Amino acid sequence: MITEPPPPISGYRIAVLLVVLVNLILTIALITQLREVQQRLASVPADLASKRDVAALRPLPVRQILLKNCVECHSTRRLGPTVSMEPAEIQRTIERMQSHPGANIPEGEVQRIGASLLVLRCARCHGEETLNLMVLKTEPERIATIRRMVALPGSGVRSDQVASIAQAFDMLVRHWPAPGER
Amino acid sequence: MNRRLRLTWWDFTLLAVMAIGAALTLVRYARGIGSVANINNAYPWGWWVGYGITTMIALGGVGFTITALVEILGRHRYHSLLRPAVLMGLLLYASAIVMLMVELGRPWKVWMILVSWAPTAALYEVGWCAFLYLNVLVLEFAQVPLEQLGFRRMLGVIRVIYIPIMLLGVTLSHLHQSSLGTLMTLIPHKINVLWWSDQLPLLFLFSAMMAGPAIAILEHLAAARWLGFEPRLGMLAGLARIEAWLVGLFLAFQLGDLIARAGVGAMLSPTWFAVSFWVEIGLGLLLPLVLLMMPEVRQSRAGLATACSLIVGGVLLHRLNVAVIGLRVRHWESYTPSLGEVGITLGITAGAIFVFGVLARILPIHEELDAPRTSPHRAAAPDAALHGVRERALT
Repeated sequence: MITEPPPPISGYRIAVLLVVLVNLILTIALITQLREVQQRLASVPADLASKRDVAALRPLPVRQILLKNCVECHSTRRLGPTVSMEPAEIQRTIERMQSHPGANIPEGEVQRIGASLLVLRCARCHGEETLNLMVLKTEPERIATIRRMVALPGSGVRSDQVASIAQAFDMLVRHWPAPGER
Repeated sequence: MNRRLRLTWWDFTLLAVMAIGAALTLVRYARGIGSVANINNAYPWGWWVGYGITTMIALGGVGFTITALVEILGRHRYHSLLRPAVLMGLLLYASAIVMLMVELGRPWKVWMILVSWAPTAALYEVGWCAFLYLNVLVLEFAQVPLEQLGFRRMLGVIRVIYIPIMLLGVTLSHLHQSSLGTLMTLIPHKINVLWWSDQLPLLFLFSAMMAGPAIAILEHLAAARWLGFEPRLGMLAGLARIEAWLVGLFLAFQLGDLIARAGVGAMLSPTWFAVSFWVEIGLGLLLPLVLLMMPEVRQSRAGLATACSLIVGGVLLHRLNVAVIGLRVRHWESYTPSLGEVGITLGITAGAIFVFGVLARILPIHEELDAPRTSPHRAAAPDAALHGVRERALT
């Protein structure tokens, strides 16, 4: 019996079928990737960054300054009475502390500590994040904000202290501590 | 039974490889595992586990796939593949266990896994199931020599218990093939996202099912060439069609699992892991799928041999990718299989082929040899290889 030889195998058909299958897999893979990107985009909030997020990039260094220079010797509770002290009285107190043996308060820090203690009185009503928003304002805007707050009942701040507090904010905004000090 | 066996140059070559493997094994036992293997803390399993155990076990799936196809699904058209499949399954499992003995180093302690109660351990299940299945395979295959030796009473007993034994074998295979994958799910932090999946038990089971018909087709073609009978191409074409479905379903399952795990990015990234993945998918699944989809390939010896070899190679690469290549290690840690590791696995593989070759010549394993010889082709083996077989075929 003569058996009929099998038909020849076409390399062209193999290549076409292989390309079609690979193309199918890559198409599915790309669609999957596209859907993943779509889902990620959909999960992104409408506002990419709030004012608070931007302010947090360079926050007021009040906490660092007080922790570094005051809390080594005093408890945080001891800083409380400074809230009711006059700006000049605060300055004198810091200079007195500076003369104590072992205090090691550099000359350049005296002004910044004073400014931090002045800003601290705003913390009676506002949190740290809210105070940080002041870094986004210009000097006239800061003065206007402080005046507005002073006018509110129970603010505990007199109108003649507005300029000192505004200067304190200005100093803290301008004199950002070096990386090693943060 | 043909007791007049003459060894050929091919048998002597296999014996030489076995001797080298045995010598290396002696060195391994005498001087420790570090003297022959390159495995280290980063790659603790290496070639021995990747090829010698997990791939051997996967290829041993030929026993349960063909048994399930013929005896459970009732496809008696493939009955002539049953005995070779069971014998191959038996030898491949035995090879994996021998490999394990060499790797573990203290084979006299291996029985302890059977008495150490640890039902929640994946390795415990693998050990018990492999041990039980090996015994089931021995009982399944024992019918052939018992029939030849004329032990009718014992043969009668085995025939009575054959159905439950066969069902037990298929069940045990499902259990431990998937348990090998369960073992790998225990190290999600160590395997690349391309291969680690909580579906690894199913992937291992399905890849073993896929490897079974491919090995059966390859064996039939090799035996036809070696022993000089005409291969049943019509039957092989039918099995190849089933194999195409298995490959296609496995490919869909593997890629679907990867997509569900959001691992597509890793597949498209320019890394060596991705290259290895694409080689596994492209050469081990896509190309054989394309080949098996074509009727002219399914009717061709060369086409079938190529497609099935690619599938077997793909299963090997999949197991190596999971156990060795896909491991996430620190950048300075590396692993290349040593000559000792490769030599021992080659020795064990040669042993399995040698035993299969001898048994195929002295026992009625291939039904085709009992039928009248119609092959127009001359046997590829030297005449001495067929000494006795031809007499049996002609009488």
